[in-house]
Amino acid sequence: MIGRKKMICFILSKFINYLITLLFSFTLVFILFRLIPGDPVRMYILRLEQQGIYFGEEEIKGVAQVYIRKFGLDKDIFTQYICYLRNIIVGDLGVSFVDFPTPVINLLKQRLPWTIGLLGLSAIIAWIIGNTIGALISWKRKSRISDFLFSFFLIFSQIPYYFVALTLLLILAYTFLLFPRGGAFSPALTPSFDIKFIMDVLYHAFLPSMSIIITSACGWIISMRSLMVPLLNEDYILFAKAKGLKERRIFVRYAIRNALLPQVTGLALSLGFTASGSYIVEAIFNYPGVGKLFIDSLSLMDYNTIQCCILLTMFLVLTASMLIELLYVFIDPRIRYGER
Amino acid sequence: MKIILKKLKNIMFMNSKILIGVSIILFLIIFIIVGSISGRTDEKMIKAGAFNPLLPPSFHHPLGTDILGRDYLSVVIIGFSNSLLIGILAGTIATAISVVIALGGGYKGGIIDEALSFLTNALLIIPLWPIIAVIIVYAGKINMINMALILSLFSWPWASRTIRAQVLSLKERPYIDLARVSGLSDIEIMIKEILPNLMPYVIVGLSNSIVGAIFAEVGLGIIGLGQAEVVTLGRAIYQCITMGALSLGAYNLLIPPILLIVLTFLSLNILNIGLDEYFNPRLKRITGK
Repeated sequence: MIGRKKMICFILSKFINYLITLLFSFTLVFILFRLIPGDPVRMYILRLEQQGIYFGEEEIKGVAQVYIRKFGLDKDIFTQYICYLRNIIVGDLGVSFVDFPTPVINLLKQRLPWTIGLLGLSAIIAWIIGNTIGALISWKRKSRISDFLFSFFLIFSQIPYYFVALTLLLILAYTFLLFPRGGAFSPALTPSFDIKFIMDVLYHAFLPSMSIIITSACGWIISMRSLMVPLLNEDYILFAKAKGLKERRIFVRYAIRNALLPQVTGLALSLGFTASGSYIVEAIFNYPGVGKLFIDSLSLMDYNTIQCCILLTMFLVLTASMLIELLYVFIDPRIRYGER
Repeated sequence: MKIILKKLKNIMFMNSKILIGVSIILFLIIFIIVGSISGRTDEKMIKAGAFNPLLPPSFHHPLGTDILGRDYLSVVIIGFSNSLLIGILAGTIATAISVVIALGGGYKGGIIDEALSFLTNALLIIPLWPIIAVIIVYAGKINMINMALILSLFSWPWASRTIRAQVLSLKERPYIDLARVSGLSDIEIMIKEILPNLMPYVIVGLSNSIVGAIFAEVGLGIIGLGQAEVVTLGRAIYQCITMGALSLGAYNLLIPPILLIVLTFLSLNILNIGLDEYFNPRLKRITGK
């Protein structure tokens, strides 16, 4: 009974912390976009005129009025802030200036699956591979091969994603022509759920995801090793050995389980960094995700789209890392049984 | 002075990782110095159209020339030293911020600490690179110092977290109580008693922040954002990509900048691991190195 209470407390405190952090990050974006120069209303009207819709003085004022009312631009900064939060909750974040007049939210809906697929899957695959190899090389830490591999992984963990991306692109796609040079699927195919299309998507996603996986898996290997090696000298491992437990059981149930806890927190913390890196990777591979949209809109100064991309990224990263932290309920028995 | 030198020598030779890290850093610095002494960093070597574009590597141009007709070795040396300079500047400012925040918050405790550590943790999770990109784009023309300032504003949280944890453990030590009883003020205790003991963590934080700043700066350059007037490695790579270096298979243009950055990150990281082992002997005994 006490255990359940503790568990609910844990989940609630994580959730409240998540909400505050989310509010904080949205506020940060709000302040940032008030500070930067540029008048979105003028941009908006300029776009309307470029589209060939001519307005008289009166109509321009009318259109501007609608826009101003929507974002509360005529009111004080606090009302603007409230309007901004309301718009975020309703999911109405204005229209793209470049892809006029598509609502930004629709643009993002097309891009989102690609980013979640690429970034989410790569991050998880890297984490699993990294922890497995990391645990193995620290288990066999006295062998020469393990030493050699450690230095090898240390070097690879230091290469930024975008450099791995460039090198893979240069060697595998341009020199040996083994992989496509960019995009998410062949232009000849129409998106559908048949085997051919899915294989094509995986084929195109291979290099971009590899560029994220290689570096981050090596990073996880290094941190897993630094967590495991001190653990292996703990008395309870010695005791387990003395008890005559099988090596494999000690390895999986006694060593890995304890080292995994900080690694889960690490995964939750690293997502923001991985997202930043994967945006550049998307740009390099012309991958049609949120990152590519963000970078394209940056060079076109598409105010609403930029803002929406950032907000969406923050929302995704924060939500994912909260969900990962909630995994603690399942993997850390201390929370379930109410010990601290 | 002599004692400090001797101590430094001791540190270097007791731990092979520190030695390796420092040697790579020295090698990179010598590379830049030799480059500038031999006249590689002259304005005329990197003026667009100074030579024929895309010459293959030769005696006069060890890395060939790039698409704009600049001697590519010169571009790499100047770009590298600029990227390094921005990194060091931003890293130093970031570390200073992190020390103030961690020391102030960690030592004082209470609501200030709660607020500061919430800020630190929030900034750790939030993807900050897009925000930096927006600031850089809307700021328009930007010089190196402003660039470093912007980068530093967002790269202090990692260092701050580790330093704060250390402050929390240090302030419970008996000698701090002693200092308090003997009438030192809070500020004096922080600066005279705690700060010197934080030094190893400050150095680790510094090299982490430098890596973070260079990562962000090159990342901006590589997609064509950032300083247009200054030659940086990121920008050099961007120009190569947009003008078709990939399809030309120009390994001589793409690999050298990548190698330099990776060497920099690697040396700082090995140095970090070495320092960690040196200042936490318990860890060293365990890893057996």
